[in-house]
Amino acid sequence: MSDIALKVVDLSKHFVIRNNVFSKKKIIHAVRKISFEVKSGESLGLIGESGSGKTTVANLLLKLIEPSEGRIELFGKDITQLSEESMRIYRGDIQIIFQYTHAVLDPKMTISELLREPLEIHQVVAKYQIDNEVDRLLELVGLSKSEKNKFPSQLSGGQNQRILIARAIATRARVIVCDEPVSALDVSVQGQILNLLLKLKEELNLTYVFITHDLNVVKHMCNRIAVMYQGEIVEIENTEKMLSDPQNPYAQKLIKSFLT
Amino acid sequence: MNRRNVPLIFGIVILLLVLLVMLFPEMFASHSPYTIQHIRFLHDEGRLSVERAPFSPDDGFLLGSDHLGRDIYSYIIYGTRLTISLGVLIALGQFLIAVPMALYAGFGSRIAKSVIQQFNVIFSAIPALLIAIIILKLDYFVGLEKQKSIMSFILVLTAVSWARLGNLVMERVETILTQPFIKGEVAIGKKHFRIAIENVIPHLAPELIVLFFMEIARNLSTLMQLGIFSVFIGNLGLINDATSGVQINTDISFEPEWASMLSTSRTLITIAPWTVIYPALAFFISVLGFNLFGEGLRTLMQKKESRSVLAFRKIITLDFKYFCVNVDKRSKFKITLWIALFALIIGFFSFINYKDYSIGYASVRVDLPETTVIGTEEALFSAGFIADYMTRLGIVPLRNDSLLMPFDIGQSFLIEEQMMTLSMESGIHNLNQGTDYAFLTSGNISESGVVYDATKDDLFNISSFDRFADKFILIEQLYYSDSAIRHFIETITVNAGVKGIILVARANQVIQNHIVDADEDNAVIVVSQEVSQVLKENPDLVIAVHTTVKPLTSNGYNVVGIHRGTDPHIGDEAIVVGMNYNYLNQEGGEVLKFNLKLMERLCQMADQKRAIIFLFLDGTINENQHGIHYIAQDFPYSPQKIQVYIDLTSITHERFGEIEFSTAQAPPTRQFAWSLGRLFDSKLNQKGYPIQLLETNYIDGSYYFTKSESDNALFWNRGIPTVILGTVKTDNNIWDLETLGSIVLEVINKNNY
Repeated sequence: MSDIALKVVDLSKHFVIRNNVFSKKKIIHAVRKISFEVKSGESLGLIGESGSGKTTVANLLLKLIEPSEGRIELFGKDITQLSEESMRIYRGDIQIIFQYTHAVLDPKMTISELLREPLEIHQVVAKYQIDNEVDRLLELVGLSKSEKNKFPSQLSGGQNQRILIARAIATRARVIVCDEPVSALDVSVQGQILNLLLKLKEELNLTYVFITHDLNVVKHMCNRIAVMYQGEIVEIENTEKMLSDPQNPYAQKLIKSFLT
Repeated sequence: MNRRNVPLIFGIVILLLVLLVMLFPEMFASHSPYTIQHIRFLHDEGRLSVERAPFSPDDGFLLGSDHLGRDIYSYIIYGTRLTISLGVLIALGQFLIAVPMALYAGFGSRIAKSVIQQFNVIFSAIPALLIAIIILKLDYFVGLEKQKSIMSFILVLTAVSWARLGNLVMERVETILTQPFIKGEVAIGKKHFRIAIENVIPHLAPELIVLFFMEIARNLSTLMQLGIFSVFIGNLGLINDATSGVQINTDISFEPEWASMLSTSRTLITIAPWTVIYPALAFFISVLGFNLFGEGLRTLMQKKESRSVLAFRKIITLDFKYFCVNVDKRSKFKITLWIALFALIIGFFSFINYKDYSIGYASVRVDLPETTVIGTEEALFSAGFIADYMTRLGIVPLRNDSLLMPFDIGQSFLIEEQMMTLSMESGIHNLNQGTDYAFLTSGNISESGVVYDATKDDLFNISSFDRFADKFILIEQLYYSDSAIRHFIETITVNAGVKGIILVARANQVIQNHIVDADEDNAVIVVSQEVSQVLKENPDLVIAVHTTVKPLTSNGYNVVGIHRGTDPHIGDEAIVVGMNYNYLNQEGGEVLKFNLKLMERLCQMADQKRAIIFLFLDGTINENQHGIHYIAQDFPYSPQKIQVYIDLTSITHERFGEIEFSTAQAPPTRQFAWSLGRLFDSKLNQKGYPIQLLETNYIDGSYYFTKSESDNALFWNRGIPTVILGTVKTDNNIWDLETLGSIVLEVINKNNY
């Protein structure tokens, strides 16, 4: 497939920090003029060291924060300038899977409530089918129906991550941004989750933007890799080419450190 | 580890007790909180001693009494309702403002945030208490009636204290919004409003509930502090002394409420410490109760995986269907608890207006005769109608199985035609019946002649009757008692062939007569003071009178019935309510409807502990036929058992400008009547009725408290203390019966405990 799912042009984000009224403004450039394209059905890996702006990019793509400059196109539609209200319609198309922490799911909601939410908001299925759909989603991510009335704190980290995935695909999202989805999990569970993501990609024809600092994961998951350094994308290349012959000095260093 | 939640248990016990007292104060109280007893008599080994309030705690008063002799214990019990509701309502007000504002601010509204912060800064810098005192001490707020006073308290105290809470909640909201899952909810496409309700509030809920009870406790202490500065609901601020231009107010409230107790008695702390200690203790216990309950709830709610949150979320998002399916039994129990709590809060609202004292006489639909005058068929019809009405209300006769008590009024006439003219140089003047003159005695008369001014004669020792012959005799009533005047009329008419007697009206005397005593030859006429002035100045003036009359039956009918008391101790004590049923115009008919409805409402009041005797009096239009005299001669109930006679016979107007009122015949020694009078006085003042106190005249060796003998009848003949309430027409008749009736109803009901 050649159509472009996500296109980013000259996207920048800077934060203005001002400690008090009298101090000078300090500008932090978290993301500087990055551009990339993700084709439909493709997986793009975004790697870089901590503080290189990867998570900011994820938040920008989801419009959880407003970009300072540049343009984001989702299936050809410019969503950069959309208001919160009009953006809500497109949120069904693009979803995010966060890094697992103890409060990545509302601890006061049950699993079934958490899964019903996206279904209700985006009216994916008719009201009377919501219960069935919740069961189907649970099955899809490999959880049993009996977990439905539990709270997130009663489940393991891996199970919670599966709930997050289920929430993301519940809206019939075509693009999913995965922000360090497995970094906080046990190595054994990591494999399971990654395999689940791969399986879902096949079944649902998903497009991934995969943000991680773990090259192993990228190697396993992605067709292409973008290397970020201090807010900029220094190199973007096919996975194999990048791993074997990186051009940029920083990319070279990064891959070298990984291989050793 | 399953440790008992001790604070919660203690808190629940205290709050349940408070709630019980709020709901059923009459179960606990020993006295009526409105009862006032200034002095009491003690028999001590055969000696009688008199003691003055405040009384120390003993058998009569469990926790003592205040300086007015009100029972502290009962006052605290009855005051619980208002004081606690006030605390709760203020807390509710604070939450209604603070929580939405805090949510708004948390989601990034600059305006909401700065409003909260500025308010918080202002009221941190200047103590909220000080501002509340300044505002609530304004004359405008002090003078408000109860309902409005409560509202203003809630508004003012909410306004000065919400921001502190708002700031607290706002910080919490901000913390919650930084939690990772909020980002997830936004990414899902959830609206801010839904996030606030479904995600933020459930996380806040435990704290909010704890804060709520803590705020109630805080509000109660604020109220207590305000009370010490004489700021409380229903502060009448009676003027005690105004000598040398300095007003000294007594801060007093007749509304049971704790804060007022602290204020009224703070000057008594050295001589009567119980007046301060016990209300303060009441505050202390309830503040403790709310605090403990809040603390206990905090511990309970902080447990993780509490399913009550689920139910809570469902309640606030109004998704009730969900209850039916997925929730286990334990949660359902908790849901019920939540709903109960909700209902309780709503219940608090209704406490403010917990008793309905409206009369609603306009709804009475009956066909009454155009006029009802003693001795006519209409009177008999009306009496029968009233008797039927009484029977329907369960009112029973006092004597002879008949509600109608007939009495003999002798022969009298109803005037059909009447005329009185003055022939002056300028021509013949027609006088107005009802304002200028009225007949007391008459037959079919047509006379004319000159006037003899006897106002300066010694009428007790008349030397010669010759000078009276063929003249109208002018007598000043002011100097003589009613019986003396009757004596003069008799001697003069027997001994001299006079044309008639003209009496000068006393101040306030009603010049209106449709019935007259029978006398075929002589007329007795009352004239106004203006007319008498004209007569005195023009001795040669010829006056002419002309009347035709119709004889009446010689029986009047008082309708008398008793609504039996229910209390085993005081059930045989009675309150007598006297009303009239004679009238001459349509307005009088409305008054009769009002009287009937008032009787009905008095019977409906559930806690009528004492008996009520209803007198519907006949012949009230003419003093001589006034039914009260016949009742007074032969009262069908033991006068010792009668606590008070409430004379409403002077209520004769549907709309009126002033109230005539007298408690002169309800002395402090007659405790029940006296306190009833005081209550009437305070209530009428509170509503702003212009009051015309009835004069006390010293006539013929005895005090005539009011304008006529009938007003004195029960007090002087039977020793029954009397409170008189009547209406007066003025140029500006802005008051109506409905509000007056509700006062009557409320006062009687409150005093009758």
